Amino acid sequence: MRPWEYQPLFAVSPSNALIGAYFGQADAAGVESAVPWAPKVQQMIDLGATQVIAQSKPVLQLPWAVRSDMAPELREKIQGLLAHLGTTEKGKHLLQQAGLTGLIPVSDRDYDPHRRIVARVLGESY
Amino acid sequence: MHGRISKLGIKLALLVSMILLATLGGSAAYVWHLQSQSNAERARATARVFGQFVASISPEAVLAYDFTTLNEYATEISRQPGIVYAYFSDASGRPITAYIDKTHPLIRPIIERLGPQPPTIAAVTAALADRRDIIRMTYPIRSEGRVLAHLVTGIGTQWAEDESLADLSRQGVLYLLIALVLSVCLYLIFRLQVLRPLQRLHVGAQRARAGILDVPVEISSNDEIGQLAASFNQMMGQIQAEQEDLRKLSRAVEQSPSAVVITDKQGRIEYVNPKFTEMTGYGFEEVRGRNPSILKSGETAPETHTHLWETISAGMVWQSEIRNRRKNGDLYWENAIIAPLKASDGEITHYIGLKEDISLRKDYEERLIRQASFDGLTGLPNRTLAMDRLRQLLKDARRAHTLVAVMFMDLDRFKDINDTLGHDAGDRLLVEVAKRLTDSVREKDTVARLGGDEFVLVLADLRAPDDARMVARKILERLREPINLDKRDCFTSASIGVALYPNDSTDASLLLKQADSAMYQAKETGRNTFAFFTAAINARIARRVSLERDLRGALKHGQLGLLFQPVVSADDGALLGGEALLRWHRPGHGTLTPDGFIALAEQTGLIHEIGRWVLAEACRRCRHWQMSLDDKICVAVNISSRQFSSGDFLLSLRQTLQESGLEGPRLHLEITERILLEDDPSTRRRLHAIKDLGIALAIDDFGTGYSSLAYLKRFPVDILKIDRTFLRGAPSNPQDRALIDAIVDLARGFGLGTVAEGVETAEQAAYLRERGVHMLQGYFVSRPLPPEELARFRESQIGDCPAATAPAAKGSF
Repeated sequence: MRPWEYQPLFAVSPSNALIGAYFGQADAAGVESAVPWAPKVQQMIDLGATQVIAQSKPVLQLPWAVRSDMAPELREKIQGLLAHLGTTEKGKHLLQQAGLTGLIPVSDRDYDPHRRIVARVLGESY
Repeated sequence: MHGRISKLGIKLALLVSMILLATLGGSAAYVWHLQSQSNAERARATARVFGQFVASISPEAVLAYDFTTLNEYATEISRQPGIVYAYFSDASGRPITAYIDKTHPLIRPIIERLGPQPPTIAAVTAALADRRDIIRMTYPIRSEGRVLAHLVTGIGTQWAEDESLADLSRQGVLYLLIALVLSVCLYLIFRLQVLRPLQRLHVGAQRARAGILDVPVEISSNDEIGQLAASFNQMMGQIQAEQEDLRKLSRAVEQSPSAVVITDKQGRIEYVNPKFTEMTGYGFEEVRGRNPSILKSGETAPETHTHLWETISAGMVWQSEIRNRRKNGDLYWENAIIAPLKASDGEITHYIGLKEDISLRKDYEERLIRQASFDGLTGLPNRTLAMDRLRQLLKDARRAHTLVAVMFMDLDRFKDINDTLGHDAGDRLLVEVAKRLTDSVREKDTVARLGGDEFVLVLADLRAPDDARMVARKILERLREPINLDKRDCFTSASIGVALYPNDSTDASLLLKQADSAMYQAKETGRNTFAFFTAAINARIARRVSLERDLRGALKHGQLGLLFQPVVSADDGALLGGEALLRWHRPGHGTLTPDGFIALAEQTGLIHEIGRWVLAEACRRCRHWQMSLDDKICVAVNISSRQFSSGDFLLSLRQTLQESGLEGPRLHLEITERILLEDDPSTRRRLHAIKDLGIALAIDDFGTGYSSLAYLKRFPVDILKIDRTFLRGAPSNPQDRALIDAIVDLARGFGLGTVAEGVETAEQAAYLRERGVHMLQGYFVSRPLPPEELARFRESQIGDCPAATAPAAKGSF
């Protein structure tokens, strides 16, 4: 669709975007694929009454960042611990509780796809 | 009641429970009503507060499309009491939250109806749209004056009621528990404080019903129940005392020696005691309900029964003696007291009769009356009845102006018949005489026996004195007919004196006396005849009355005196003593000898007083002579038969000797043969008692009586006094000499002394001395002398009393 053919609205969170679409506040909502299965969402909407109309390529989301002045050793140590959660049972349990599939170390370039989408939809560049 | 659940206790517990439930239930309902209103109001207020609050904080979430936050708001509001549902809608009313309280009682049925289809706010609110018990409230969510969305709440009014009901249910349970506990507590307290004492009272009442009144009820408290128990015990005590009184009264009636009859007001018998049965022969069952008139004998006047009922019906007591009939037909007398029994208001309810069988008493009374009025031997009226009838006849005669004759009859020489044929024959003679007398007069006349051989006839309704004369002749003729006694014909006659009313007197007693006097007149004129009372007889009676009156005053006025005729020794003429001779110096009549008044004195009883005086005076004088002349001198005193037989004679004799100081042997008592003829133990005892005092006994006028001489052996006689009649012809008359000789020989044979009375000549004295007579008395010796002259007579004598020197001479002077 062309940009003048719709009006984007931003909800306070992806789940609210989906819920808002369900309650007719928007015609469609774009959310990460795990959102519909979140318990909070499932309690509010009937997924059977929604339909997936398109699915993007996988994109990173929910970046975990640290302070830029943090010591590199500590930053790397935290990164290593989080990235290896999926390798231990305890770590898997934590991920499951957090509703995450896993944490992987990324770099700024890994967010280029996001920049392209923003530039294409909003015409803004970052 | 004891040991089981008390009905009263259950009633009380139920009552308390009901009252509690009613009061608590009423208050609960009221509270429930208030609480319902309060809850509803609270729900509305909560919804309002929450709505306004949430509406005020929700614009940011709406603007940020933060549906989860809004959903949380809706969830939180929905959980508030009374909120059925709460949701947000956009400005067009489309729901933008999804929370539904699926457990809510109003929503759960809707979800069930929807089936597997997930419930939506729209579906639920649509289903609840028509319910009136849900208040729908909408709060707009505004931002800068623009309505962004709405908060919609549904408030259930039923909730408030349900909530209140729930509270009420809890309260109800609590109240029930309280009521239960309270009831149980009350029951236990009630049982301990009330039921147990009441149980004891109940047991006490059952004991009382069984007649056990002496076991008191235990008193465990001083409250009203305790006071009730104390009153109960007092009541039992009172009932026991009253029952005891009642039992005593009942036993008294039951065992009363009198027959008791209780009837109702109509006279129907309700009770009779055993004595009644014993008396009448009727058992209780035989007379129950019947009238006491079954006892009527027909011999009681109907007026008596009429008076009875009039008396008792008027509330008074009736008493009388009536003659009734027993069951076996026997007649009997009863003394009946019949009284009304009254209730407390004075109304007569019953009658009670107390009856006593007085048949025996009546018979006895009749016998007594008969004995008192009739002569036991002849069956004739006695003096009392005769006088009663005479008085009555005099009254009748006074009214009828007729004559009444009183006849006093005495059999001639009846004593001779009695003495010769015996008392039994005498009695049979009297009975026959009574029969002939009765046959000789009319039925309306009265024949009475006064005693002995004395009879009185009262002839009523006479027209003339000759009527009485004819009856007297008829009686004498009848009595002249022989009377067969012990197969022997006996002959008797009578002397009759007649007095007439009103000719001689109008007084019954006087008439009888007049007839008596006339009877003596008849006897004096030869017996076997009759005499009418006359003026001459009347004059003699008057003289006798005058004599009696004067004699009664003679002693008091000192008109009596004693002369002493000396008794001397036949051998030497010495004074031995004197015989006391009584004289009455009657004013206007000179000096009277005993012949003129002793008979009257004996008839009137004055003889006792006169005799005592003579004895005392003679002893006193003799004692005086002993002291002044000769201590051997004696005195002789005549004793009449009446005086001898009087009860106090011996006592009087002892007192006289004691008072005068005279020794017994110096006193000689002269008695007549008549006394000795009354040969009975009493006479013998009396004579021996006189002898025990040392007194000498002399038989006066010896040989003139009817003496059998055998008494000389039986009685302690000392001296025989030869009667003066034997001396009149002596010594020339051989018969008199023979009698004197016989008497002297007799005395000598018995060792008795002899005194010759009436010695008037020296020849007589010489003869008597020659015959061996011991003592002489008479005008040859001396006339009777006043006491003071006896001393002079003594002084003219020489010699001592031979009795003093001849103790062998029995009873000598």
